[in-house]
Amino acid sequence: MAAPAVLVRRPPRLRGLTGRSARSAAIGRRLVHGLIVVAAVATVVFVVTRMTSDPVRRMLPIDATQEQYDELQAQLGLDRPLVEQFGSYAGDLVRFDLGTSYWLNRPVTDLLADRLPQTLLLVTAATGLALVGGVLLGVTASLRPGSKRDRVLSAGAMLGVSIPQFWLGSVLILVFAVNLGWLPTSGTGTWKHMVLPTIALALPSIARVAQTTRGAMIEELGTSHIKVAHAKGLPLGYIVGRHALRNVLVPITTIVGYELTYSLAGAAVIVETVFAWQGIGYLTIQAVRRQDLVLLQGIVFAIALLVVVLNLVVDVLYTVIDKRIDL
Amino acid sequence: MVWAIDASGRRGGPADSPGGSMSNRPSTRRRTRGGALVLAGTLLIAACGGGDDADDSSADTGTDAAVAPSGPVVISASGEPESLDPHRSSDPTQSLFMWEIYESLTSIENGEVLPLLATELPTMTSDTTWEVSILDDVVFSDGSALDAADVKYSLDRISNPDYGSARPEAKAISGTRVVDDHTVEISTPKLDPLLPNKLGNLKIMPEGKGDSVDEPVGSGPYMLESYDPGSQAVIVFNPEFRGEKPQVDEIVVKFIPDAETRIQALEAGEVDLVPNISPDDFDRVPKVITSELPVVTFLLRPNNYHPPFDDVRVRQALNYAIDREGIIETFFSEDTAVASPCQPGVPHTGDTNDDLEPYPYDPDKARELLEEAGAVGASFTFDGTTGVSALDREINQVIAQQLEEAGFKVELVLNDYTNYIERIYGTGESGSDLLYAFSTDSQASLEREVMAYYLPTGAASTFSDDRLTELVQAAAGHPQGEERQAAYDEMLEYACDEAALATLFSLKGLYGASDRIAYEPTGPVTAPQLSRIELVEG
Repeated sequence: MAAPAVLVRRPPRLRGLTGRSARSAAIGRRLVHGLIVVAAVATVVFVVTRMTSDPVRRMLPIDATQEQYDELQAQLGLDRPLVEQFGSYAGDLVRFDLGTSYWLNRPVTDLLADRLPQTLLLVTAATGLALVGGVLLGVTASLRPGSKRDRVLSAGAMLGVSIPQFWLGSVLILVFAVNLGWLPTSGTGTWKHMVLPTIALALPSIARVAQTTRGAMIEELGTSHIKVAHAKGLPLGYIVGRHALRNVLVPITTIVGYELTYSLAGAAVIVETVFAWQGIGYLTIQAVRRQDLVLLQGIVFAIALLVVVLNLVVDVLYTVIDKRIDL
Repeated sequence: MVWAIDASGRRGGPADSPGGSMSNRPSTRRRTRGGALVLAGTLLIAACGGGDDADDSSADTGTDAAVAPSGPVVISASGEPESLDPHRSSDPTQSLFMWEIYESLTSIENGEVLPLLATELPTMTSDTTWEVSILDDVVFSDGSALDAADVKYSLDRISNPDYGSARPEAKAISGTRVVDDHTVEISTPKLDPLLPNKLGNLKIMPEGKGDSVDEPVGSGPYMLESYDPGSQAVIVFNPEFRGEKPQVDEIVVKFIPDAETRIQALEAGEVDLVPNISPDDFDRVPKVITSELPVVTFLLRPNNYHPPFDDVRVRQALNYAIDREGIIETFFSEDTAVASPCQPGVPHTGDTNDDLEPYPYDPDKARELLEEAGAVGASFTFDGTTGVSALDREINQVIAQQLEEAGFKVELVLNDYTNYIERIYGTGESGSDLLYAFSTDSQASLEREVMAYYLPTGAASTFSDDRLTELVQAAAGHPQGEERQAAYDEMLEYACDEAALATLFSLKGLYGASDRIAYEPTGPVTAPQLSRIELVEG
């Protein structure tokens, strides 16, 4: 009997190291790479915000004098040469001092501590829903490729991927809060407040996870070891759950990891604004509108760090799912 | 005349900014409604047994989804306040509820300055000193009596350069002196006839309470019961308030950044009042409330540093080319907007020239002037906005059409809020050729707008004219009275003849309200006086 086809990554082994040492070294190397990425992101956001905004003008009333402008600029340290500003900024980042928000006049770390858990809660719930819903739909569609059911589910997935989330959010509010009165329109506080923003955030992700799962499952269900399992008379559910699904966990993990990152670093901004969900996405929009450079820099830095950690977790998960995969 | 938008050839700008204070997405709402019909139809078919629950709007709707008939009044704000410190900056969200907690020496209602904590309006004792007497029966919410020391403390705090207040009034005061327990002398750095107006925005707190602004203590009709940053603030009646008890004991201010969501919250019965709604939403809300007088004026700001608007005939042509009444008829109504007289700022405020009328709509005259100036086909960039104010995208497109019909060649760029801020403060020669802007009134006077737009050193100025500069400086130097008004009249008339601006229309404050409240706003748009809200019986 031929060995079953399995997706395997074969990164180079570290010379002279084996087992746990190799693993730790690999994780360490990933972390260093990640920190380089974070440093690059922090530099880019520093440069872009300094080039495109004038927070001093934004904070002053329309009839402020040049004297007031100069005073506030000096107070904020924005009259210093850019290189000096960057030096202070980089030094502060190393100490995890993200500065004080111009707009809210509070330490950015405090604001992140207040708001980030709300975003993580929403993103985790949405990603969990995407995982369960997407895998179920993808597997269902893959069992009879080309059938009416498959075509309907695939069209639905296409629709889900295409719907803009701000529009979806407004429609969900209109139907479930305004017309049916089942759920609140916005805000935080109870589990009911979570339902609509979670759906709005999860729906495109469900579609993408379903598409990926479907594709991977169709390929897997066509392999010889699955055909042998059929021939042996094993139940379909057993074949799918015990054999096929295990072998597609890697691509599913990849897409779910991507969705988690995408939600955290992008989609949550829109959904949180529509639903007045008090997370960092909403805070980001306000920071952009108010040209609060410090807050924006802090948020981007925190998100970049989180994304690096998430990617590392996904990489480690690969090795757990399939022991043949090395970091 | 109703104008239809010709969108061909118009270049759009950055995408709409979410959550603008007067933002709207009419095409989004049409798609929203269409999509909602499809979704709702599907759900009705799929959930045949769910209709009974949906009839009871108070069941299964979350803790506060539907407002009980006798519960707190809920207001929606477009964002969270910067802080609870009333001296720090001009923050309209903060003033929405904090102005019910704190009071000032004077107040502004329908463009008129009135005493509030003062027994009468401050009197000028010299060119740079004023004396103000304070009421002797005012008590703060902590039970302490308000006296001159509290006034001195508050005004000194705001004007202290080390404190760094970003309020425009911060530089208006150079010193204070306690004359007696209920009299304060206020010094100004130079002659400032508008000090009584400016005092209306400077809030009084107990001496020493600047270090604990997160637990505000004020003399107003309400006090802060709770504040959940980013979510909501709750204010309740202050039992120490000396005035008439407001009918509403408790007001909840919810921070909802997205304009569409605010309207939906009103439709769902979760909020009672939504300030700054768009006329597009009138048919969606239970009730529309407007302020008695206009609160914001929209205008076009030409740049006279270079062609085409360096020629007065071209600027006059700009004014004649705009059909103001047509814009009002198309987008608003005569109940909500008026054509702006030829002066900046809102009508009926202090220092206005009551004889100035709007430029009439006369496209033939506009073309004649352009021909005379050799400027037919003169091209320029028109910096409009999108998502910044009510129906701005559509209005800007119509204005561009009108200008093209008169003989201009217009390149329309639609800017979101962030770019608009950059454009409004882009002054002098490098400023926009033509910018769509707006001004409100927080000091019951045109002076701020005049200084900002008419002086070459103004914070939002792209206009330079030596004679106008002279007239502005002369007018601003007069104390309140007939001489000042005469100087303002002369200056405003000259500016109108020179077409330094093209004022368009002035809009009233527009509020969406539930059927259970009655409300007559008289304050500026930055201070809607929530204590005036009443519950409607039945």
